[in-house]
Amino acid sequence: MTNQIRTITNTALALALAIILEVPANAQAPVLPLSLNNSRIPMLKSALLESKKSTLAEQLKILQTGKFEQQSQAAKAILSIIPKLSTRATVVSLLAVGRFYAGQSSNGKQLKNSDQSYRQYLVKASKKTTRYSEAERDAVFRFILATYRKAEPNNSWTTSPLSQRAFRDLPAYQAFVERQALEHWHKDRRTKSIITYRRIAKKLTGKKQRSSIDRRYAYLSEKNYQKDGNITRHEKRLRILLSNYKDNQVFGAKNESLVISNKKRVLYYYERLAKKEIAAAEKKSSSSKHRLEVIPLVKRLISNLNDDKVKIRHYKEKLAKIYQVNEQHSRAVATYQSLIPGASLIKKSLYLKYAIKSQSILASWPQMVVWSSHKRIKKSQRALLRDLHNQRANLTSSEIKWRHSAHSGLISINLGDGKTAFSQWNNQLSENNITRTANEIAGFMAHTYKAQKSWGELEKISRLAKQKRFKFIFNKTGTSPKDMLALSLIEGGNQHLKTGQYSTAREKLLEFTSKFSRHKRYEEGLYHLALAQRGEGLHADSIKSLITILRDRPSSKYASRSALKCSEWSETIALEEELIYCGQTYLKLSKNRGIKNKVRESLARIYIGRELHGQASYQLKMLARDTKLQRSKRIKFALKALEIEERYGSSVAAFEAAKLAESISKGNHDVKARALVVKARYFFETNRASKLERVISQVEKLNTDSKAVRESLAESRFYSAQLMAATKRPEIYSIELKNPSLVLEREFNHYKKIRDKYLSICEIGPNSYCGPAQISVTSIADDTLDRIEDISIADKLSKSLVDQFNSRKMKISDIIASDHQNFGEKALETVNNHHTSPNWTLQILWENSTDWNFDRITGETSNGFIQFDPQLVTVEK
Amino acid sequence: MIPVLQILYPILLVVSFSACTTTGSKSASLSSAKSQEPILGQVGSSKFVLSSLDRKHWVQLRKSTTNQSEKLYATLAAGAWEAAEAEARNYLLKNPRNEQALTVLVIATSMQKKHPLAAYYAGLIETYHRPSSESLNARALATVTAPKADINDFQNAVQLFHQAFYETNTEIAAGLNLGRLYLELGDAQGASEIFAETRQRCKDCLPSLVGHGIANSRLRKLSKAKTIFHLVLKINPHHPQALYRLALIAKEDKQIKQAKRYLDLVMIHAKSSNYIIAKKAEELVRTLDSQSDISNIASDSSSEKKQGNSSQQDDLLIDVGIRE
Repeated sequence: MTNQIRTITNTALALALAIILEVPANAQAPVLPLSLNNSRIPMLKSALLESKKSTLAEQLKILQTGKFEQQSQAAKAILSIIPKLSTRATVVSLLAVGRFYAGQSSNGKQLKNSDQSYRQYLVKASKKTTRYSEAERDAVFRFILATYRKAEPNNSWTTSPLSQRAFRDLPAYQAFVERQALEHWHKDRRTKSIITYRRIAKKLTGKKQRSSIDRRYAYLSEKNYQKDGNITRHEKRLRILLSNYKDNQVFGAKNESLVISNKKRVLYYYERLAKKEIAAAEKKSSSSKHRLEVIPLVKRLISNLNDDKVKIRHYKEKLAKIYQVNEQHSRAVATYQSLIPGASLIKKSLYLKYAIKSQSILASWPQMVVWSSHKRIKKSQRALLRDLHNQRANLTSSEIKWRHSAHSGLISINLGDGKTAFSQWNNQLSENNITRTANEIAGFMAHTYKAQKSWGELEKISRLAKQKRFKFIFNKTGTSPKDMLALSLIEGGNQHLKTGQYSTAREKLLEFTSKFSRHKRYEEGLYHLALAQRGEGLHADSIKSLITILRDRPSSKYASRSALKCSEWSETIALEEELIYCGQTYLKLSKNRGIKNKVRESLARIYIGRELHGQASYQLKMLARDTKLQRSKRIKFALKALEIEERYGSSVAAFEAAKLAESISKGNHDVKARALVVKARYFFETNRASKLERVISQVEKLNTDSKAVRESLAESRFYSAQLMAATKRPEIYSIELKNPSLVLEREFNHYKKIRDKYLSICEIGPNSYCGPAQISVTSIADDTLDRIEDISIADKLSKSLVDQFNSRKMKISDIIASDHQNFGEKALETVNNHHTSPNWTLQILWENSTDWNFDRITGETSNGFIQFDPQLVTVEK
Repeated sequence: MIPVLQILYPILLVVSFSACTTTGSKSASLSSAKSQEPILGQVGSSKFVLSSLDRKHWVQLRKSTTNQSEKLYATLAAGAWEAAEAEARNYLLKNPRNEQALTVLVIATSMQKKHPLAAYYAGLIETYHRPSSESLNARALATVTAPKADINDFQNAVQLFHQAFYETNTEIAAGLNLGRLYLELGDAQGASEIFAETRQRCKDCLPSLVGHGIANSRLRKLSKAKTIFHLVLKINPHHPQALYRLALIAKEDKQIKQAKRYLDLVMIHAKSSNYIIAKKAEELVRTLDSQSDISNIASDSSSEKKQGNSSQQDDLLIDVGIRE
């Protein structure tokens, strides 16, 4: 539709221009006037005056006025006298005879058909005229032509009966030639016609008439071009004309305006030619060959347009367009670029658009924005294309601007200058309105940052996107800036964490965890926040973060490691409650036996420190029960549990712990002995002598070279002795005794039995119960002496019997008293061998030497010494 | 009290400003300004056995100093155990595994009789760093104060105290503890050796003298023991232990009267301050009374005549002590 309107408009304009420029309405009409109206014979008067023969005059008169027969005779008469006539008279005679034979009257009317012989007379006449004046020759020339045209009006001008040599210099001759040219034209000898016109024009150089001939020449050339389509020939003709017009005197003096006018006319034809060919060349259906013809044509036209900038721009545009259509993109781009300076904004934008189109082909770069990667080829072409995109981006706005920006940036990236591209995009995103392509740019940037792990940049663009409310579109899929911000914060935080930039890492991760608590990586964020906080020295905060994971996301995959870290770190900063909480949580969450055991150990230590003995014992027992642990370790844990249960737990629990230790020991006499003594203690406390004896017999089977075994055996025997000593014995009432000797012996035996039991402790070897046993013997001795003192015999019995009894009693008393003294001293000696525990030492010392350890450091009420050395720093005054 | 400690423990804090001016280096100046000044205390007591500076000084330092490490020790030296513990914990929050803070924590908890906790943190010191006198001493104290400790525990404690004592040549507390443990285990010889070494380290501080005296008594080196106890009485004329021990020595020497005079002094001066020793002195007096008969008294009186000069010397020492 638009093209149609354009065509109609162009046609109308051409028509109007043709009217203004006075294009001949009838193109067949000659341009040069050739008047053939004078029927009088030229040079007649002078010829007659010159000729002295009256005959000629008479005959001529007859020929003009006589009847036909007379005329015929007169003609013959004239012909007969011609050789005698002067040249001039001859010419006149031949002209007259010729007209007669041509069938014409003296006034030039065609009276009858011509006799073809007339031609010879006219030709002869013409040949005789060469020496005459221009006026005479012109008259002859016109007379011959007039005669001929009347005699043979339909015949060709070219067969005119005359010798052209005689008239070539005549102005009328050119008119005659033009008529021949026109005749050629009409007889479709167009080239000949045009050539003839050209000759005419040449002949008329310096004359005003040439102006018209030139115009005709141009006109016919165009007509011929319109028919044969020979662009080159037509253009060449026009060019020649234009070349001629460089001489402003080409139409003679004072006709410069005509030169200008003609030049305009020729340019008009030139432009018509160009426009037509351009229109054709612009079509895709046009051939490359044709375009290659048109291109120089347009170029030459442009060179002839002098200072007509508007037209030059117009034809350059067309030229560029043809280049583009003809796939001469490099030239197209160059042409468009040359058009840019001085063009309006709209035009500039348009030129750039087309230039970009061509340059994209040269650079093998897609017209549409393609976000996938491109091969790195044609760098210089792409650099130029980027410049063009940039230029057009600066001239446009909104979506178009964004597209060019997108191309520019992508090319920069392709050229290895992604930094600049992204920087420019960033600036543009912050300054301009956002369209779909802008969203794609942002999306591309965001995903590139993501792929490159440039988390700081991703964070910036995500914040910008949130602020300006644009989206990230990548691969036709939208991504929320919020999601990207979250990603950038967590990944950025992680990155900073890896490089030891803890403060920055903390900032990022803190923001992530505070803003994105529902994010799927929330726990990871918290975990890494804890790491960052620790790195920064915010240890308490770090622990809080870890506990938040355990409290809020106990099923997270980070929960277990958080618990572990929390317990490990809490230990280093003396956060006991946190250590316990995290350690216990780790035990619940983890299946890693090895680490769990370490945590259990850690927990056991803090439980002992915090005097949470039940918990400590539990963890130690758990460790002891782990059959995958080394036996030595298991034994150690079992014994520690045993120790705790004994000191702080119930005897039942201690007994159970002992069984556990014993079950693990498997042949380890020390452990077995430690376990058995607990049992012994238990049976002693529950007053079960037989079971205690059984334990003793078990311990006795162990290797007493071991200190632990000796201690166990000693302690067990000590308990056994104590049980025996504590056995309630009947009161002794001497008066009731039927056999005092027997009672005396029984008491003595009982004493010996207990004494020996105690003393058997010292036989084991060095142990801490020997001293206590010895001092216990003194105590038993004391009691026995008291009891023996109460045994007496009746004086009324036989003296020998009484003496025997008293003697025996004395002896027994001496033995026991001696034991008392000896074992008291021995106990003191034993104590001095420092194998006895402090409580017994205290007692033995006191009983033997009234020496008392007032300043005890053992026992729960002790007051040991503590020392510290303040590290003082005195600041310089 | 005689300001013996002030004589024995001149302030070690020397600030070498001259060094600073010659070197022009601040770090050099600070380094030379560091000084060690041991403070010796007993568990459960806020009064120190040894300390050259009074509490006021430490309180003032605690308020004025900006150096966290210094502040920690100032709090400790001011005897504010709970505050020291809290500050050590706070310091650890910012400085995990910090040896100084852990040490302060160990000491503060030990002084509050939280021996298991002190042992726990002592264990951490040894795990994170290396065993120190403080950590070993604390662990040993935790061992000997544990309920139902057996001979094995005490022997372990002996090793720990021993290691602590010889960890540095300025350690006193572990020496005193070890000496006393030796005495409690009946190893008078061991105790004597350790107390002798401790006396050198603490320049005859009271606990070392008393311990050394007891050890010598048990080794039957009565004369040496007596001399040592008189040294104690020079420092503290009413020292109950010294008086009691002198009474025992007098008893050994059959100087019952003299013994009873010592015991009377014990009962007078320790009645309110040390109930146990007063009670034991009373028991001993009763024992002496029950053992004494006319003949003993006669022999005792003749013996006393022979020992008149030394007895007078004792009296003189006591008098001197009292007057001082």
